[in-house]
Amino acid sequence: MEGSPLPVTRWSQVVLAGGDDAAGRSALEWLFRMYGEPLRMHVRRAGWRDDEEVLQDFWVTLLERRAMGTADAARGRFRSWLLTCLDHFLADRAAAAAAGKRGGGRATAGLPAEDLFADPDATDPAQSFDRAWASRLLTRARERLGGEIDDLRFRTLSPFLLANGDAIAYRTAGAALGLGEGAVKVAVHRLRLAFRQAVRAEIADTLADPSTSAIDAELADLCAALTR
Amino acid sequence: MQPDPVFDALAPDALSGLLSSAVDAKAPTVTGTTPDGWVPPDPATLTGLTPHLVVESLLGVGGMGAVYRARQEHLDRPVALKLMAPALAADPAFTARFQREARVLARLDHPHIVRLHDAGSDDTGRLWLIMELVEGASLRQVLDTGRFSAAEALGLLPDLCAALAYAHGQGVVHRDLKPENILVDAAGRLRIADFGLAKLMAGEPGSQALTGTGQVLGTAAYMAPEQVIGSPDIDHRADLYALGVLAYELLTGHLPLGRFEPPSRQPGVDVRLDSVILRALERDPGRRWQQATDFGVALGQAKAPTPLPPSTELAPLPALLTPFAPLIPALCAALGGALVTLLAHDHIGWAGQCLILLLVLFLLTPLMGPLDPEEPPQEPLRQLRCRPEQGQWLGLATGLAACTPMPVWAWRLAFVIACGWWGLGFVAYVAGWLSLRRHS
Repeated sequence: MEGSPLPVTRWSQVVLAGGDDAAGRSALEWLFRMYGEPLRMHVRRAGWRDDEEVLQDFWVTLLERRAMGTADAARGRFRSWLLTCLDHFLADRAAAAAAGKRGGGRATAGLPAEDLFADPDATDPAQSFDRAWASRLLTRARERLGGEIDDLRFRTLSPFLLANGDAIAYRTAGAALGLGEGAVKVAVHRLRLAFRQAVRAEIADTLADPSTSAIDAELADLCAALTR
Repeated sequence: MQPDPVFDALAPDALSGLLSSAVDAKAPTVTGTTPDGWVPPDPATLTGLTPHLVVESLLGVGGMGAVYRARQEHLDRPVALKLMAPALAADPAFTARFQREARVLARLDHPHIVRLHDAGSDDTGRLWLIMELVEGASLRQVLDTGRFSAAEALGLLPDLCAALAYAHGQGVVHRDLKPENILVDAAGRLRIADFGLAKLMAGEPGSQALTGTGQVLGTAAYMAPEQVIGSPDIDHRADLYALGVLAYELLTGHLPLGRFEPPSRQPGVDVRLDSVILRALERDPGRRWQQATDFGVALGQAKAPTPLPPSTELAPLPALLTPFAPLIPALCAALGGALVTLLAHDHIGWAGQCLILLLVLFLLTPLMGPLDPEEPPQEPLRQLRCRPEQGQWLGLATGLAACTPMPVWAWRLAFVIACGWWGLGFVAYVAGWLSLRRHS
C-alpha cells in the first residue's frame, strides 16, 4: 500500500470531504456503525444509564456541527478522534444537566449514575473503550477473511494465532478439520498471514494516512493502550 | 452487529498480542526488494507478459527475483510467475543458468517436484518462468509454527527421498535443498522447488563453466562440506547431505552444527535413526548414502516396528510350547521361588527372599518375550526392551509413575509372577512341613 498515491480509506474520505460531502457522511456513518459499540460501552462505563439516548444525541451533534470537518487530520486516527469528541460531548452534557438541576430544570435522568454501571474490572473507562475497540477491530478483521476461512476452521485454528501449539494440539486440530499435522501447520501459517493482512487493512480504514508506518504506529498505540 | 465472543472474551494482553502480530509487516504482498535493491514491478504492469497471463499479487521476493501469483486465463489455471531481477538478467552467465534451469525443470515430472509450465523473456530482456502454483507455505514457514513430531517427520522424508531419487535419475542435482525451497501444499504434501541452481550432470558438458569453479552456491547450513570448499566435484550426494541436515532438523528442531547430539536424544526419536541420519551427514561423500533411494529405504526401516535386539532375542521355542511362552518365565520364577523358600527360609528370612525375588525378576526380564510373535509393536515388554536407555525395571518404574499403559501392563505380568513365586513357595513349604510331620 505504501507508495501508492492518496489511497482512499473510510477515514480519509471523512477527513477529505470535511463532512459536507455525501461520500464523507456515508463513510462516517459506516465507521460509526462498525465501531459504535465501543462508544456505547464507553458511555455506559462512564456511568450514563441512558447510553442509547446519549449516543444518539452525540451522533446527531456530530453531524449537525459537521465536526468531522474539524477532525485532527494531522493525527488522522478515527479511534482517538472519536473518543476525544465523545469525552467532550459527555462533559458538556454533564455540565448542562448540572446547570439545569441548579436552575430547577427537569429531572436529571441523563446525569452519570455514580458508578452504577461502571465496570468493576476497569479503573479507566478509556481502557474499556480501547479493549472493546480492539475486539471490534479483530472481529472486523475476521469478517474480512469471509468465505476464505470458514467458521469451524477459524475457531479451531485461532488459538494458534497467538502461539505455536505442540504436536498434540496440532493433531487435535487436525482431527477436527480432517487434516494431517503438516496440513494443519500450513493452514495455521496461512491463517496468520491472512489475519495479519486483514487486521492491517481494517486499521487502515480508520486512518487518514494508511501508510505502513502509520498502520504500525496505530497498532503500537492501541497495544500500548490495552496493556497500560 | 454484536462483538465476536472469540475476541470479546480475550484478556487485554491477548488482544494486544494478536494486534502485535500484525505490527511486523513481513507480509510479502506488501512490498519487498532483492538484496541489490531491486523493487519488483507492480503486478498489474506484468499482466500480458505472455498472452492470457493475468498477474494478481506479489507472493515473495528472493535473491534471484520475485514470485507472483498469476492466472492463465485461457486455461483458468492459477500459476506462479517467477520474474528475474534485471541485474541478474544482464549477466550472461546468469542468463545461461536461468535458461538451464528452465530446461532442467521442464524435464522433471514428479508429484513431489514443482512443475514448470513455461519460460522465456520479453522484449526488454526480462526473464520469467511460469510454474505450478503451490497453495501452501514453505517448509521453513511451517517449521516456524512448531516442530514436527518424529512420526510426522518420518512420514515426510521418504517423499523427499523419492523426489530426489527421481531427479538424480534424470541427471539433475538440486544443490540448494533447504526448507525455504521445499513447499508444503494445503494437504500437507511436499514439493521441491527452485531447481534453479541445479547442475546438469549429463547432456550439457559445459555446465560447470556456468557457475565457475570455486564459486559457492547454496545455503551454508545445508551445504555439503565439498560445496563449502568449492570443490568442482559436486554430485548428487551433496543433496543427500542437505537431506540429512533437513532430516536432523525435522526430528530435533535444531541444525547439526558443531558437536551435535544424535537425533535419538530427542524424546520420541528411535535410536535406530541415529546411524541412518549420521551416515547422510558424513563429511566424505564416499561414506554417505550413495543413493536417495537407499536413504529412503533406511528411513522406512527405522520407522517400521522395532525388531527384537539380537542380544535379547529368544531362541525359537518348539511349536508345542509357543502358546505358553509367556508362562515359562513365570513358571521358572515360581519353581525357583518354591525351592528357595523350602531350602533357605530358615537361613535368609523373608527380607532375603524379597531380595532374591527382585533379583530373579530383574534377571528374567529379557526372557519375557512377546506374548505372540505376531503381536503389534505396542506390546509392552517388547517396547521396554527396545529402549535400553530406560533401563529395564527402572524404565518400568518411571513408566508406572507416569501411568503410561505399557509399564502398567508389564507390571501386571510381574505381579502374576510374584504371586506364582509366593503361592508355589507356600505350597512347597506346607508340603515339606506335612512330609516332615508324617515322618516324625
